[in-house]
Amino acid sequence: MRLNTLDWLHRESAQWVADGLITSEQRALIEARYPAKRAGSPLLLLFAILGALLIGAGILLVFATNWWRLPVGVKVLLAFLPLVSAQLLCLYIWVYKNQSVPFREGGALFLSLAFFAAVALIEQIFHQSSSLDAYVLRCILFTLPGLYLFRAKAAMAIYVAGAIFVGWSQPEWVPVALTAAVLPFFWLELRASSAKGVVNYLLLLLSTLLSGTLLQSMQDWADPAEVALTCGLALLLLDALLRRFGRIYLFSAAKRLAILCITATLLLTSLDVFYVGSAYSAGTLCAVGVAAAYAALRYLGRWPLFSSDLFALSAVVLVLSRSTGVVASLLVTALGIYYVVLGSRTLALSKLNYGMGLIISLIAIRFFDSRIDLLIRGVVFILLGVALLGVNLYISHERRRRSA
Amino acid sequence: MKKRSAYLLLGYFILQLALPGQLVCRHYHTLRTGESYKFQVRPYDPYDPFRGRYVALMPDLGPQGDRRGEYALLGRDADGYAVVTGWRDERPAEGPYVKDLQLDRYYMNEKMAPQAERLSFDLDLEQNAFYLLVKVRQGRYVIAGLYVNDTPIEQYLVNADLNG
Repeated sequence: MRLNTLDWLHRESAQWVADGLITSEQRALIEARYPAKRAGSPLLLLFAILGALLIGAGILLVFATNWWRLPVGVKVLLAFLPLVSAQLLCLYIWVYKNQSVPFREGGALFLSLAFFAAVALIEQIFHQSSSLDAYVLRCILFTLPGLYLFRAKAAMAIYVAGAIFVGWSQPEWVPVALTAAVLPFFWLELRASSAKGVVNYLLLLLSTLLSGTLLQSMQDWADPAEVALTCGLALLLLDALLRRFGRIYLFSAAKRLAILCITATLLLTSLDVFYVGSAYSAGTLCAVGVAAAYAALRYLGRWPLFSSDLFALSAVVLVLSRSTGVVASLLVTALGIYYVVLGSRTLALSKLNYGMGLIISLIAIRFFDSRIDLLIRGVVFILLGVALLGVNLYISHERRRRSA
Repeated sequence: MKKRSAYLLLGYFILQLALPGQLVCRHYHTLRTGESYKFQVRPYDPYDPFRGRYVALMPDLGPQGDRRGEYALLGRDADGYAVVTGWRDERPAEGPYVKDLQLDRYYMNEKMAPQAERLSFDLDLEQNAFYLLVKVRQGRYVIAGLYVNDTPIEQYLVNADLNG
């Protein structure tokens, strides 16, 4: 039984004894019937991971400040550290958690990124001047076997993104070969999915093409962020229309793409890399117009609020606030915390991962924010991590004390 | 089946370690045992999204163009700085040489790279030596450091910071 429910039982049973409903012996028997669950909360575990991640990133930043002072041998060892850690983790997953999709996905993703990091660090240590294309090509080729071994879709997305990046600048046979190498993976995935899965894949592809065309056609009179947010809102409108007309199995592709579109824009805006939109530009009016149509449809439908509304609201706030990085960062933080809490309460892994993904992305963005001094960033990261772990330890301690 | 997959996984891990491992072996050996050459350079400060901030360099390597796959013949001028005396399509039979000579980048942290760029504009290069120390061994080369008047540029920038 959960600790807060046990607390309630403890208080109430004391009252029952005082009221003469039960005896003290009966109270003890009732309480013994409901032992406290000793299992840790997933939320606490996640915050512990986040705390460790912050401390790790902070240490890396402090190292980066004095990187040039380290002997080459030490730098090389540090470069291999993430790759070897990822391999050990993947070996553990392979042996003990091979049936767990989240573990396989997470492990393969970590391994791919660790390989990218190791090669980048070694090339940096020895000041190698290979082109970015050559570097990405080498890395994606070495991550390819991992996709098949772990059947990992997230790592596959990195491969595909890398292949598209490399494909533009290589002879024609290179993109063809890179695509051919990943086709069996798609075939295996499609064979394992239902008709709904196939329809979603196709819809996602179609929506991507349509959004790209829209982006292309609007780029002369609107800011890229406004265009992306308008696309996201239009997809939410499409999702609402599909719900209205009952094509239930078509929902997820439009909604997922809308979430992706709005999330990516929020994250990019938090970097302050683009967007200097005016409150009355054509792009703003377009975004607000689509949002109004969406709100009208939602109001007429009289449905209760659901998650799409949060994204629509975030998009509108971003457009109307003339999007500064601070507003975008606050929106990402709020969405991240909301989904972590929601995911851990409802035990919905996808929501939990999405929330964690948002928070980690925001941390990563600040990690690379060169406007703040390396050492200051490092110290702030370490302090935040220690604070998070400290709160975590305190809550765990309290829970143990109360369950004793 | 499971055993075969485990071997595949281990093989994959070894392959993954082999690429950076081979890069390290090759460069580390050259760095430790190679002959030193000083190339005079002028830096500027761009950014590589994966590998970070670096100082891009413009060394004088003789006639430019696409020199990939070619061998650069190395010599020294009267002041002891390295010069490229010529380019060959085939491996030279004698004399110091390097293949694919591209001294176009030197990685630094994001704080120091712009400072290094500013320094290169502020310094009078006629009065101060700004050079890249390169180790060369059997046609291979590794950049050992960027120097200002025989002081590593990182140390030079720290000293300049301390002296205001």
